[in-house]
Amino acid sequence: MLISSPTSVEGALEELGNENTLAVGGGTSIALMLKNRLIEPDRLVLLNKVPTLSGIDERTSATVRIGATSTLLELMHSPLVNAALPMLSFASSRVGNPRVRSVATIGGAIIHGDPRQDLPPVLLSLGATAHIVGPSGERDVPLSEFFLGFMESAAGEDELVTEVTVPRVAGQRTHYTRFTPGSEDDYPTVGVAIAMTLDSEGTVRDARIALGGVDSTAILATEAAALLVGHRPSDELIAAAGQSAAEGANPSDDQRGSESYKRAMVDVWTRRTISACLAG
Amino acid sequence: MSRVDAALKASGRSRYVADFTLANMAYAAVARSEMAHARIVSIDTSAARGCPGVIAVFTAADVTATPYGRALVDTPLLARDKVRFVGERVAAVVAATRHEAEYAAAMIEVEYEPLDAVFTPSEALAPGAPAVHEQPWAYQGAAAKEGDPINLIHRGTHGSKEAVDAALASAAFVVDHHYTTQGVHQGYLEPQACIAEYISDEEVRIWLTTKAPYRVREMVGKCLDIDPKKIELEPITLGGDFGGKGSPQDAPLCTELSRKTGRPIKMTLRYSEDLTAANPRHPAEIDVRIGADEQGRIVAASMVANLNAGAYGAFTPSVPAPHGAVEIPSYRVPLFYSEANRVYTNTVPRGNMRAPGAPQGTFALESAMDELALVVGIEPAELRRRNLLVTGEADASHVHWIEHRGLETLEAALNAVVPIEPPEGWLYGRGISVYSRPTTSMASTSLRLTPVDDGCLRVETPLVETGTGSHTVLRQMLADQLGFAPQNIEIVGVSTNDLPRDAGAGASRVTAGFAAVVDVAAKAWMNRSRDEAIVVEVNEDSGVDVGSYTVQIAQVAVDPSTGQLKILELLNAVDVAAIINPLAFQMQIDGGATMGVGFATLENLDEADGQVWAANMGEYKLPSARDVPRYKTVKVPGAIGLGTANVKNIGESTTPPVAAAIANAVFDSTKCRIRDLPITAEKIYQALKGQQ
Repeated sequence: MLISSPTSVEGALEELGNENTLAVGGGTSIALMLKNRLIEPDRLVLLNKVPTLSGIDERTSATVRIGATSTLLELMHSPLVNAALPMLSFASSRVGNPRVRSVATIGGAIIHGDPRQDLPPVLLSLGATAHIVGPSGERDVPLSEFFLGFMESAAGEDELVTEVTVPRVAGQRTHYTRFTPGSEDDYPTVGVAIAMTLDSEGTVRDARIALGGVDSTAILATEAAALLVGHRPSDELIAAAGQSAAEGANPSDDQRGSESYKRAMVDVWTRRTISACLAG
Repeated sequence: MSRVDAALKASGRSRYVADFTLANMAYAAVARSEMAHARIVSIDTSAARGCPGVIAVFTAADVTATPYGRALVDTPLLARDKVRFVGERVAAVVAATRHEAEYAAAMIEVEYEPLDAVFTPSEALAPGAPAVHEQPWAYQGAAAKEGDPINLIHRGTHGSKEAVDAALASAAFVVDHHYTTQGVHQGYLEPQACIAEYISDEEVRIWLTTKAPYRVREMVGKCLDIDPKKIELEPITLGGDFGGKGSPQDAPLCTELSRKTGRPIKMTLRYSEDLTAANPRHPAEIDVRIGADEQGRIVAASMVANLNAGAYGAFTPSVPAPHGAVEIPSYRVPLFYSEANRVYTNTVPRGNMRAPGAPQGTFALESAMDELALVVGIEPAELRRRNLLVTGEADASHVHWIEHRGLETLEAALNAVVPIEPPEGWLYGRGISVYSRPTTSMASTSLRLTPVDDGCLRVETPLVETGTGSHTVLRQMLADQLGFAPQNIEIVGVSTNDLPRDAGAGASRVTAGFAAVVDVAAKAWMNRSRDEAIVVEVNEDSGVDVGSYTVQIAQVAVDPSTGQLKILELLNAVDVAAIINPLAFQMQIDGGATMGVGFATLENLDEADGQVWAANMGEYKLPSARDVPRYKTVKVPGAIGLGTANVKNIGESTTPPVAAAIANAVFDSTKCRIRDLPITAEKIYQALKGQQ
């Protein structure tokens, strides 16, 4: 297996033009898959030497740009992310352990496309966009169109996610719940990430509810969120949103719970997470 | 006092079996069965033989046909004619590197004809069940007889079922319930590994991840027809045991491969292999019946356990009945019937794990005690108070202990518990559980003491430090009795050739065994000729039963909307004699309780279809630091211990009672009785839903 460390995006793309080649951010997922022989690539392209893929800054006053190789540790401690996107800092702090967080990257988290992980639903609910660069040019793909299936994304094998941009919304209320009734050191049975804005009357202006661990990708509970918009949510409305989210989920049985239990937990935790957002 | 091995372990310099390399060493890897039960039609090794680095490929036809085992000798080196569980060794590759061996092993093509399989004891004991072994009675050491249920390995009974049935029929109160427990892995960090170097029938050296080297050399020798005394088990550092490292593991196979290839052979399991093909704890199906009089005094009890022994019975606990899964050691039971059936199934073969049988049996018994308290209409603690044995009484199996301190331990626990507020909206409950076990020292070990310069002492022991701190405890006992400063005593692990005997680390008797041999050593040391090394040994075949009680109280909170369980506190009241090393002692209490918490709420090999679910320790969940609840320890001092050192067992005391303490607390909070482990949030949620 060949391993290269290009220092530019162009260099990385050139390497990725080879057959059976994988780009590596922090490598925390790839190393596990290699060890379990789920993948047998001929080449690995390490991205940590490409300076333009790193860094977190304000693209505009309304957008935070996060370089694809930004680590979860950086997301935890970045003053900008803490101030503008506290849910992202919080979710990053709950992933794995310090060894994982110090190398795992935001680019890896989305390109890996594991629906059980924490960052995909969080970024979905924040309305993030992935910037993809490849041999045929560059494009922006909203995360709502990025996750195509289980560990399958809109980025081609010869393409790179170079950065993630996240809108910065004044007064946005966010809350992320990772429900781990077995071990806290496990993927969540159900993850619920919600971002919403209220007007001064307490009426919901905008809401996005994203779910992790209950489908082949992280998903948006669009109908559940739509129920809330334009209303000052009552208990009945919150219950209806929970039920809608549960109906829209498509979980499967595994060690973290049966299909029916996960569906019921989507209901409970969507309701509770909405209430947490409303409570500020 | 700091541990003998602290600096080496903390700095990563401890050398484990996987770290050793011998000159000219080759590596073995095995192809494993992907079928739970199937006839082997053909094995095509041609592709594997052509792979780079391959030295030789072996199937059952190429190695000894003699199986190996402890009491029951039924385990083949490589599957012969048929496979009996997913993960069974089918063929072995020897190659220049580990990677090449594993690569070639994956190229071995096996054609199977699938057979009907059985995965639980109930399925295996059902009339007409497919036979895991066609003639189980024909193995050396078999307890089964022709005409027994085909998959029965051993049936151990105690007492009269008729007498108990009659007493239960006329008892004022009776409970009769069925409890089930899952398979769990010991979870040691170091996977099983072996290096075998066969030089001649007169000289064989083995480095094995084992805590029972003398026993292993006997079994390897018998299997390969080599004088066991010519087999030397080298000293090693063990990365955790918890009962799982007492079998010969892959040593018979590696030794045979070394004999066939003329090279030292090394085989280190991937953790996925350790999960699917080592020797985890027996899943159990246990029926408990208890009858009591109007005052709640037990008049008769019956415990019947069917233990899933997996595909081979060689290392299922070989003790005669009553097995730990069907013991009632703590209570006054005038009429007792117990039955333990060890049963073949098409699942991973089972072995020992911390207090074999007791975590399963204590979950069933102590849950049933609470169920009995409910029908009698008294508090669970009061029921136990009325039934705990007192000194002078024999237990249900007619064993007399030197004293019984269950009542003191119970009261100490009840006095120490302080109610904890649950989170808002959560239900609160408290559960109690009692466990007791005897230590019979039956010491069997040896030591060599050599005076060295500057008033220092070099002490050689064949006892493997499994990670518990046993070598530190030995140093401390010797320092106390011989008058040395601990830092002037060096403890050195040595091979089976260097000293005559050791029974292996197990049965909570390491400290007691050391206490006995240190007594002998202290006398011999006084009487020695100047500056001469001395070798001492003890080999007791009987001993007094010193009992040790543990009373646990779990406080839990349950989220009624999700079933999520939080253990607010687990209190361990333990009945203690002298404590040699307070830190190591506390580590056994807390570590044992944590293992119990994992068994009670989380861990599960989940092999319902014969396939262990998890492929690694990331997937197979043990409690992590974040999952460990708050512990409170109450020591009840003043007990009678063994030997001059006055010590009792602790290593297996706090694991068995945890599951029932939690199940009883969950019942107290929710009125839901969970009789199937592990107690997951989903099971509680479903039970709560069922109430509505």
